Amino acid sequence: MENRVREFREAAGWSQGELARRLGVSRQTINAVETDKYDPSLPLALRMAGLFALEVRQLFIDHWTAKE
Amino acid sequence: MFAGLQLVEGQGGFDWTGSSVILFGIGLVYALMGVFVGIGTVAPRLFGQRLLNVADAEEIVEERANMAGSAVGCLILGAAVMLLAHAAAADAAGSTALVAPALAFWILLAVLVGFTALSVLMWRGFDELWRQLTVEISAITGNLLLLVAIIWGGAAAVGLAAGPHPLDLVSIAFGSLLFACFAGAGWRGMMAPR
Repeated sequence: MENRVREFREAAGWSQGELARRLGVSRQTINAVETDKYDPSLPLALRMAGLFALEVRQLFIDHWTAKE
Repeated sequence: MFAGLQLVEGQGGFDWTGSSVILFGIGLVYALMGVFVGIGTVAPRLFGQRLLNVADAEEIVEERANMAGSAVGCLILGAAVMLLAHAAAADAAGSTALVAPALAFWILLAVLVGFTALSVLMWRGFDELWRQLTVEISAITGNLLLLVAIIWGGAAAVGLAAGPHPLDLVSIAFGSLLFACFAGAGWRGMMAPR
């Protein structure tokens, strides 16, 4: 799933390590999320969005559309 | 690796068959992984940044407890696997090994129990990515074991292939886990240079 985590992290002036520390996860997790190698759990996605004062849908882009 | 085999063989005549050589080689890979991660963990700025796939030395310092546990675990497990291969090769040739074959087995079993306990302790410190990775590695390992056991066992049962040597079963288990670790880490982008 596409996301804008790197964009908002860099805008906040945080390193991957700093964001990881604030979220209580490893740096590898932040790196894997930013490179689209790992989709975070719903609780982590909510925490990420909350940290950047965003809605989850603003941070994670899902191209899925409902079938008619 | 063959120099290593000669070193442990010493002056005695050992029967290094394909099965024991493969098991020894797999043990050596585990041990070397433990050595490299251990060196990188002890000296993150001097060696760690270059030896391990991390963004910077600080990342190693942050993950030092887990990495040190993995390094010690891999080193001891690799040594125990090599010891079993060595003892089996000596036993097959009627020579004296560093330890009796039965003792080598009990050592490996004790190390496995310790490794499992260490894994449980480390699991508690894992975040969600590492827990997911552990589950995926377990799944890959299990599926590989199923595949090899069914195909090789079935083929051997109908005479299409020779049955596995007991050491082959140990090699398949440790080899599958080793492959699964690299495959799982690669799938999650952890093998890509940072």
